[in-house]
Amino acid sequence: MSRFHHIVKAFIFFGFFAYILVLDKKGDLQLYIAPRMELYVKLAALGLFIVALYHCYHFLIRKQAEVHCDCGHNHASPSSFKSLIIYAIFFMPILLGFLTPDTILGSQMAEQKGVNFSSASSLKTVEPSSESQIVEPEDVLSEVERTEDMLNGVEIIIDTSNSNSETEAQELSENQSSEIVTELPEEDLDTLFASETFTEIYANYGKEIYTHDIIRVQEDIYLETLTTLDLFLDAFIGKQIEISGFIFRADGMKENEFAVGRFAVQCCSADASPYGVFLEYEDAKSWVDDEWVTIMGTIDRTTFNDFDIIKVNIKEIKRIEAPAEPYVYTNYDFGL
Amino acid sequence: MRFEWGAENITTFQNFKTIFLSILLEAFPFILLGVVVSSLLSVFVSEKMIARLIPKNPVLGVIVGCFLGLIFPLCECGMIPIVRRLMLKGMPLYIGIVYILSGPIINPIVFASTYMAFRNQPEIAYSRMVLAFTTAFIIGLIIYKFIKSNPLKAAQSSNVHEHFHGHQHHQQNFASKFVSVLAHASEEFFEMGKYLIFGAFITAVIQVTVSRAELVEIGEGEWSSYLFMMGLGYILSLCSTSDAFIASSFATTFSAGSLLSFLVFGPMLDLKNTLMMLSIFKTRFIIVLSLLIFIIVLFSSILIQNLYFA
Repeated sequence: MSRFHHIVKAFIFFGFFAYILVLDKKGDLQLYIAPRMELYVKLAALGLFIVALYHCYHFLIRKQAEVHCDCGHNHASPSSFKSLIIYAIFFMPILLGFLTPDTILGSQMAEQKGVNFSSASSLKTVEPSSESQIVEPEDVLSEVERTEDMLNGVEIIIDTSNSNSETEAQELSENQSSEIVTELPEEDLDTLFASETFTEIYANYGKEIYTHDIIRVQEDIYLETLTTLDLFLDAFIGKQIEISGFIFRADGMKENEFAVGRFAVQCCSADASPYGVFLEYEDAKSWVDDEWVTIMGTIDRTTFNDFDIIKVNIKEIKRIEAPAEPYVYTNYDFGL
Repeated sequence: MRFEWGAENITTFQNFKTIFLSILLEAFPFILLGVVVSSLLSVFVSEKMIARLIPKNPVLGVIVGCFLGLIFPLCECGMIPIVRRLMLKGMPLYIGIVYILSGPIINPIVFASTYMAFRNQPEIAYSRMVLAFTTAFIIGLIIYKFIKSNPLKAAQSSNVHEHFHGHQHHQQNFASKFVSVLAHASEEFFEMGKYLIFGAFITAVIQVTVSRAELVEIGEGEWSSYLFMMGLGYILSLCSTSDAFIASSFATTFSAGSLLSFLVFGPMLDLKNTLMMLSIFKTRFIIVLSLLIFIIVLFSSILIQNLYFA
């Protein structure tokens, strides 16, 4: 193999290595790869680096190169035009990577991929009839709701007055709510969260967040929370919810409707799917796509494209900085 | 598809970049592992050892091939260079193909992720394994019976030189063995890599230009839902460890059978791995193999839908 091929190959391997390194340094590797896969990609970078060194070595010490190729391969003997094309194919992703900015998947991709407003869809399909087995929870709810509505007022005041000590406020609210739960007999809660084997962990989580005055959809348990809300929507109607994400719109939404959500990534961004909640807000028009917001509102239901889904009536909406980690991931500790 | 070049197109381009590079970055560890293992095999494992390990009985051979993924859980990017190397060392074609087909599905990682994605329906995870086994088993026997010619591409140098490697490397010290592993790995990286890049490119273009909603419209109807899900599996070219999560997002729209056709067809045959297989097999063989996979997956998933899930 001529020195030319060695140096070009060294550049290619080194280019991929450097790209992964730079992405990692900037903290942008997560825009391409899920955290659980990052280690493997970094190990791959190390491998690329070693192969790059190998080619450098051959480029610098030319005679040795022939000795090591004792198997007599004409390793890269295709015509020089053909090998130029092949090298161009390899340089293309490297240049693309370095020369264009790294961006977050946003509303346009969400629309393209089709948004999943019903995150529990795969759980619901087992026995659609199971929903009818749930005793209408209205009467159970109304009682709780009244007490809670009063408390909610208190909660909001606490929240705004000392927003720094959020955990404190949350603890407080949990204490308050636990009183409510004691009013609610255990079996009623079980009826509300009737579950089967496969939905049991969601039911348990549902019972837990049900006692919170405000259900905060945390980013480390984003998908699981949305799934729980979707699965036991009847139980959560009327409750307060706080969720953050970017704004997007789906085909068929009215002027006063939009959505807030996040992309969920399993392995790499090619499998990213958008998850979110459907929102109704009078002033929806003045909120543009891809803006990151936190919304606070009341849980309700609606029918969208023939699906029965969760809807939030917004009470409060505020702009936030795009989070350091834009995507959400499956929580593997959930239910353990 | 859009043609004028505005802000929207810049976003489309950026999305393309994200998806294209994410497929590449994701595939790198696996393709590197594949070429390194393949190089190690080439340098350290002799034809004799392979011959001793392979069962003489073809049915047994096919069954062993089906479960190789349990011992070597690799995805398709890493598998193709290894299978070629094993075949050059004397592994029969039908076992190699059976491993390429079943390996990305019948392995513990894929079973676990499918189980996770369909928590409420473990039948999906089990059926996926059973369908993959059936498909690979049937194809393995067909290949054993009917394909006698060697479908490996002869053009590349590796074929000719394979013989020398065995003896010559025995006399080498560790350092020079290490260097020749690197040489092989680099060579194979370039051979596989160009197809991988091309496959990732087309996949990314399709993902950003064709919307899911447009596709779903095509997929309404009994037969077309299978064709649609298989087509989707083909063009998305996802890793078999993550495709179950995508399938579960279709659970309300499509039947279990058509989801299974996606889960079995996609890992066996997709855009990315068709192109990668082109690097080692003759085109005619790939066409025959693709048709076999298509027909068997289609009918077996329709069958399982009607017998089991209906």
